[in-house]
Amino acid sequence: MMVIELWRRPGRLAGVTVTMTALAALAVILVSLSSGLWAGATGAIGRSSADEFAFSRDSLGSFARSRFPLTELARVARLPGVRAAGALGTLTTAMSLPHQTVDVAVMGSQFSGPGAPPAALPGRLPRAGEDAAAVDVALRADGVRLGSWLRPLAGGPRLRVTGFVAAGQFELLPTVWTSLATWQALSAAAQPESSSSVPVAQVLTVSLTARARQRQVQDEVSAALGGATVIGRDQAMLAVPGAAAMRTTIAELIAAVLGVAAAVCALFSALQAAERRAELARLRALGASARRLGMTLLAQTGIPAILAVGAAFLLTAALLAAAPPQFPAALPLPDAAGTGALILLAAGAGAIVPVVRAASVDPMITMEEQ
Amino acid sequence: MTAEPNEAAVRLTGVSKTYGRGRTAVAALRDASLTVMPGELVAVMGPSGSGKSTLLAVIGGLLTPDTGTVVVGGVEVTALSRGSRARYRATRVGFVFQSLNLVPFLTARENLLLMASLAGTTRTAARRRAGNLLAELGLEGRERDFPGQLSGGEQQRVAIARALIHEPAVLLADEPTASLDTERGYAVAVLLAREVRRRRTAGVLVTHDPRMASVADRVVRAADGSLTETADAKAG
Repeated sequence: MMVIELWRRPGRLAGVTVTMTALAALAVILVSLSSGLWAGATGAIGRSSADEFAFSRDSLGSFARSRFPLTELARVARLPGVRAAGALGTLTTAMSLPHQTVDVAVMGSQFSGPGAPPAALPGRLPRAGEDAAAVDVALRADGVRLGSWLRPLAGGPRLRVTGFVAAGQFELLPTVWTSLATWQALSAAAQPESSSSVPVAQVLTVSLTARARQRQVQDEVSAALGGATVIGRDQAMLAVPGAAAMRTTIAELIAAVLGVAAAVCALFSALQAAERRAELARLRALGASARRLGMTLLAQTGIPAILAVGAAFLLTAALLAAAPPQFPAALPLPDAAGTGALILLAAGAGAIVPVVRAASVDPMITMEEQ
Repeated sequence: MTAEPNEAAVRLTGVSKTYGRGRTAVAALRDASLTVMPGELVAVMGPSGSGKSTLLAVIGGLLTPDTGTVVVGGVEVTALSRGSRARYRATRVGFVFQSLNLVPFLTARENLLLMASLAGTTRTAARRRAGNLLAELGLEGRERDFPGQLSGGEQQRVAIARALIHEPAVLLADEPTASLDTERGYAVAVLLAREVRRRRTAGVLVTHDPRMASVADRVVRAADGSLTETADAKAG
């Protein structure tokens, strides 16, 4: 019945709800930015069909520093627990279109092994020996069509667009998928110091058989490649340049916002408890149990928090709808649900101590105040 | 656990309560004994600090005495756990405090329903009793008014109705007329006495005012923690 108070004292409800909405909206926007940036930075790896990624021993788990001759591929493919092996090369560069220049991530792939992009729809993936590319559907917004030509500004072969793929981005750039030979030619033109006379790739990719033990296969692949660093897909996403630092920074910001939300709830609950100490003591004297009072007070903190989370999601959805398509923000359902739960948890955690103290107020205060 | 009809509704035996320790110790009650029968209103008079409020707190299960036993409506209050004492207060005790004791954001009727809900009374029964009580206490038409819209006397009548809605074994009133003028205070005291007798509830009324005490069946004087029966009691 005390929840009625929130509706009969709308000023109190509005004050805390508006504050909580601002904080919740900040948290939700940060999470949506984090999700969008993360997908943009690592989507091409995250959506990969490869289970394991092998980086050369001296690369320290970096795409840019890692190199393997393609001759190693056959050895890895024969190892127990390995269903198939593939190779991948990455290069961020600029491509010239008829009317503009765009930054892209060139992804060299074998197209048949793990790590290859999904089938091109519409169009097709490039054929062996063809200087062509299947490109990220996002490039349609830049005027790229089937049959368009992409000219690398740093030199190397021109690429004819043979298809579009929904393979995700890499380092926040749309992906351009080519054969490994084309990628190697583009890399040599852009970074002559890294050119090689033999066919190479940056990382080798592995898909596991159904019964394979991940750890064991990782060890065997590592040994076969002379001490290579072999990691799973989630870790490989963190190996994308800047991804780990970005995730850590945004996570710290979100944690700070949640901390402030908890502090606001703690303050609100503490103020409310102090202001209503006499009233709570009287209710205890009348026979209200500490549990009942505690639940009521928690509800009085929880209801504004729930309203705030709802309002924050509506606000964020409106902002995302109004943002340009290139804006790197997204709010997948699991992330949204998790954020909502975290905000409510922070609110509950902030309120719990003042609520417990208020609910266990000594009813004798009622008699002492007379 | 329920008291027999001719059995005392409230029985205090050898109750002592001391606040503090050592040199700062203050004896609020010393070997106090008191019996209140169902339908009987006992007024407790005495100066400030004489132990009147402590007596009410001990009967109401707000305080545990150092020694002695308190039995109310067949329940030995002094043997109850902390959690059980809240349940005891909700079901067996009706409190009327000095002033401003209604929940301000609830209407008169909702204040009664809240108490009934604490006592575990069914919603239907609570609504019926609330309507009847408010009408009997002259508050018909004021059910939907908030405490702030009621006069002091009306607020205390709502408080009395709240104290009675769950049909308690004992009604404890701590200076219930202190915030009212003499006439309205006396009217509230008379009403309190009438309801105690009519409902066969034991009543303990703490007051400074001899005129208010005159509505009681008996007057007990509290001084330095001791209770003394006086001869100036008069039937209301």
